[in-house]
Amino acid sequence: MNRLDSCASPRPYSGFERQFLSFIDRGELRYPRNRLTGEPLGLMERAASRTAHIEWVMASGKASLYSFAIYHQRYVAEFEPPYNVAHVELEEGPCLISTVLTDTPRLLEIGMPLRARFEPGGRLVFVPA
Amino acid sequence: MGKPLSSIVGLGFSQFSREDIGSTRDLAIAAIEAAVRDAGLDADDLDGLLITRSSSAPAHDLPLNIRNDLGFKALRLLSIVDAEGASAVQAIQHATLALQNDMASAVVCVFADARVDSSASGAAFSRIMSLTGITDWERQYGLYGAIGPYALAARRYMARYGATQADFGAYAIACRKWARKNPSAFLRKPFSMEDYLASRWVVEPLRMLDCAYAVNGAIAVVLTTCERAMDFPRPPVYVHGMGQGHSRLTGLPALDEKSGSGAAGAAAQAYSMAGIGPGDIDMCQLYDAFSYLGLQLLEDYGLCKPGEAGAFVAEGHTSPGGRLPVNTGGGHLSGFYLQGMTPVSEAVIQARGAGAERQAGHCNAILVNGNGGQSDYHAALILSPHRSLT
Repeated sequence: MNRLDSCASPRPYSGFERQFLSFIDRGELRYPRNRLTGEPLGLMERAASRTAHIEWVMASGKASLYSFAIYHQRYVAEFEPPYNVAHVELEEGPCLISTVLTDTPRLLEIGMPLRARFEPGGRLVFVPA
Repeated sequence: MGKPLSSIVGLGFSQFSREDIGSTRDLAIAAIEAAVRDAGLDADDLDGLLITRSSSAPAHDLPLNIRNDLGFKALRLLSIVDAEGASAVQAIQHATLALQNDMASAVVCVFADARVDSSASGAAFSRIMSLTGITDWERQYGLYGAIGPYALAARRYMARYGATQADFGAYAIACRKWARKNPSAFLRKPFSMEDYLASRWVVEPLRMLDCAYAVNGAIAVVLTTCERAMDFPRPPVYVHGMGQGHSRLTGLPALDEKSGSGAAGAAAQAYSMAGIGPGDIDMCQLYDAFSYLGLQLLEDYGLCKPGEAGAFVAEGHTSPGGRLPVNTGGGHLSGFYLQGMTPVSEAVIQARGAGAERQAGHCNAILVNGNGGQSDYHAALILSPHRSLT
């Protein structure tokens, strides 16, 4: 079962989202880029992605930690606190939410270099570079 | 400058509670009836109704046909206004536009919420937050609750300006000092910085004491034209300026220094319409659902320089007796969280001079803010007890 089917509360995905997630399901982190200008597009920039000629470029996987939050309160059973949620900036520019896998959460620091990794289950995570 | 745009002549509250005290609709009706009574009117004197609710509450909780519950005559203005946390302030703006254009003569705006359940599970506030732009992407990382995005923004703010936990603590303490003087505030027990720093994390860097205190309740206001403002039993509160600003992209970019929130646009428009600048503001009533957000708003609306709000608050300027009283009822943190109607109602109370023990010495030009999403959606009002700001 892939990510598009397993979503807990199914809602319509746009073609743009399907494209991104289909790469993720193959273990590829790709981001949209304007084919004409070479400008990377954020994953929020739907309007630009609709009007511009876009291509999906393989990300290097190099990134930095833009910000992070550590959950101490349990919201749902699947997530045992403490755990971190990370706002990650890819070296190419686009940002996304993920988590940083680390044995030393106290050493998380804004700006620290990270590297993308796919877990065995297919989830995209980041590790300190 | 010139004449004001509209006036607030009625203010009404339902009961407030952490327990189940009725449906959203019941609470809304109670607040509307109280506001109409406060204005010295009967329901059939009203010809406009604007409804707002939490964007995470079901739409059918507060439908348009609530008008049938109230004994209104045929209305000339009726709508649900939905811009997340900016809704209540926007409703007052839309009412003002209608009054100025003779589309209505007396409009009631209401906000009601009944999501707190007595089991205190917080389930109603535990929705998944979308920041990346890919539907449900955040579910796999556990980004639950409005607090998540604000914790990310707060951490970034700390790194950008060298702000500390103590800055957030100073804001929460200042709000509690005001709440001490407000019998309607829910959290009134004083606490020290030491207490603050020892309190439990919810989502680090935000603690329980950094978070809004949600209640079940409703608040309504009645607006009319400024020409009729003196015909009512309570001192009128004039609307002098209003503005909105919505960031170009939602989600992550709102936390991004490059794109910013919608605040700058809302501030510029509201100040310009009122013919004043941020230096003329002598009181703020802010939508401060998290302590960090209160500091960010002081900076975004030009009342402090970027990165300086923490020191400004720690010096006592926003506390009782300070030169810029902020959230004089205790705000969302210590008073009660009824979204944009918390700051609106406190501004009306202060402008009427009805603040009793918490009445501030000055409130000639009050900045009122509502904001929602992840600070994506902003709306602002400039209110005053005076017909002219000059």
